[in-house]
Amino acid sequence: MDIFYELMQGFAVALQPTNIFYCLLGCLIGTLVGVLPGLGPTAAMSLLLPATFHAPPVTAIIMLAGIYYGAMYGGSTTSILVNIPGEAASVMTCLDGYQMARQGKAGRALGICAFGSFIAGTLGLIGLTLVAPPLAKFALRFGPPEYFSLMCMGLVVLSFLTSTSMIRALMMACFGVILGTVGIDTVSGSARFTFGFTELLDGIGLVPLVMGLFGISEILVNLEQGTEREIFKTKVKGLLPTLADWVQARWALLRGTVIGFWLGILPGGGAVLASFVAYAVEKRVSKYPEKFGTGIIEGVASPEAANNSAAQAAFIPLLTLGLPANVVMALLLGALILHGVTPGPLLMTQHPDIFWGVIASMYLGNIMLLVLNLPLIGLWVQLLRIPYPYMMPLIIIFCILGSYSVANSMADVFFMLLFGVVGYIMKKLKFDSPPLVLAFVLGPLVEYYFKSSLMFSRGSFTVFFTRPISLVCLSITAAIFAWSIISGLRQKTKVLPRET
Amino acid sequence: MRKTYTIAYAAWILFACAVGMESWRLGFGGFVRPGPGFVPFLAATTLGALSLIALVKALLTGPEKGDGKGFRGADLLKIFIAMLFLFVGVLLWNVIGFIPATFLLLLFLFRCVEPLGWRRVVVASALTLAFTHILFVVLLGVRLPQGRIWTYFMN
Repeated sequence: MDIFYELMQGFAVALQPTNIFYCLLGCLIGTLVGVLPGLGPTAAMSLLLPATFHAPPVTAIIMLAGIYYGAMYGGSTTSILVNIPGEAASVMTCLDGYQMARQGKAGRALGICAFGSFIAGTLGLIGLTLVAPPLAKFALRFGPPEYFSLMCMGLVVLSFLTSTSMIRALMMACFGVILGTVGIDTVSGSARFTFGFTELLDGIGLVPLVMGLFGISEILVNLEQGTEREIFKTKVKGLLPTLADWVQARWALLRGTVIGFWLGILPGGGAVLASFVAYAVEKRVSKYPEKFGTGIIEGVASPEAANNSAAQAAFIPLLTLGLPANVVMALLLGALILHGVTPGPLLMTQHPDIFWGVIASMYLGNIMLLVLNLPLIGLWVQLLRIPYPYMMPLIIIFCILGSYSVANSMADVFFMLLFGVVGYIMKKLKFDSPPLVLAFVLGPLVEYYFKSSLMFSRGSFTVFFTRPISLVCLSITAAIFAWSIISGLRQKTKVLPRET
Repeated sequence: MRKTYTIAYAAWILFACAVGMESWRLGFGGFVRPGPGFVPFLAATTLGALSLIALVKALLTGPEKGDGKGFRGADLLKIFIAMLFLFVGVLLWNVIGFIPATFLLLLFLFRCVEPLGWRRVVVASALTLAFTHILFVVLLGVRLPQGRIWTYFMN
């Protein structure tokens, strides 16, 4: 009852007209930046952070949080319609969402995304409200070895799900880890792979990397194919999923929500990892895994549910432990500190208005997003229906400006263009980008936890096998490797008799 | 395709060797106290080993089911020209400023990459520029380069 009472107090804060307005504004900006390729929630929040300094802390956080989960809703729209993820967590939605759009099922894909996001977001919020304290306590049991093993498992799972080649996917994961190490080493303070360029001291930015690999490379591939392809020739209709769609997607939604919620809590996990893992799990448990990537509704519902659920769950470690789970949460942490509020275990007691006000505003925000997004999908479709010869330069300029706006850095723009060429070559040779991006995001954390574990165990690798949670994660990783090798050999033995 | 993949995997091996050597120079450290080059070295070693396996596999078995179709010379020329203009267009931001440089870049993109009529090209470029300017500069407050040339003339 205490939680219910506190939540009602939170609603009293969230329902103040100013806070409703800022929540709506945050949701709209979030959806807009999610929809527009080249501008993600991190960039938008960075740009708007100074604008919130004049507002009370709770109002500022309500708006910034709205941008984050609003972007999760909006990110899928561009993934489905243009095959360019609006933000990193929507990468997996491209695989089946775009294929559905090509088959004339864009409306159903967008509809299941909107409803799935709402359901997963709300369930994630209920989880956040009810079980935040015990879950936070459980996450506290995770030490560096557990985090390292968990992240390794995430990378291998992701490589395993790729439809081309496990070797090439693992190569890309290694490349991502290497790219993630560029810049100042936080432990020793020495500059790595900067080659005298001061622009590289802070490392390679996520936004230029993702925009290059997914945005510019897509443009380059389309340049080759000519402009015969338009985004849409048919009307986007049937936004309300049918009963058959619900039946087909129900378990995918539920599994995605649960996976997203758990992975969202863990630092380093977040919406990106959640969507990747949810897709992988869905593909694994499916009766028709070969259809994934060809445009099936589970392939859209699962990652979308996961990233929205993870977006809500990511607030748990931030609000209860003061530990940001991802870069967006780190921005929110910075915003809270700038407003004189220190997030952590005492936030619930010292600033209940902020803790519960933000949570209550997220319930409202989810409803706002559902109510607004379904009618607005038509507007986004109209924008994206502009013929490709007109869209292409706009997407390029958005990618360029999106990369530039994060740190007002020309170097970021050049990195983005460079990664555009890299992404183009990768696309042509069927090297998968998602393992690279995930490894790039997790690389610095993997390195930190790996080093910490070894220092903690005085150089003994047994630390990864003597702790139960770490052992379970590594066992799963080993099992995936074994399964991959066995299934590869099986396929060969099946093919060989036919050849002879 | 075997040749393309052979070159690609060989390039990855070279890249892994270069990263490995630089990581070693940075300092591998030890297991008790890993140095700054520890993790990049492990990643480079793994990348090199995987590339070598893939190279041997490509040489022995030839093209696989999931392999790409490779490159065509004409396409590469098109991509090279487009990327060249993008790099030059962005470089011009600092010289003549965001608005003229982006307008020129848009003219190129609309006219050369996508052969549209000049009137359409100019209108589409102007509208695209206005839209992006309003969104990024006016609404989001992004400060874009004004161009050294204008600063020079103003002074």
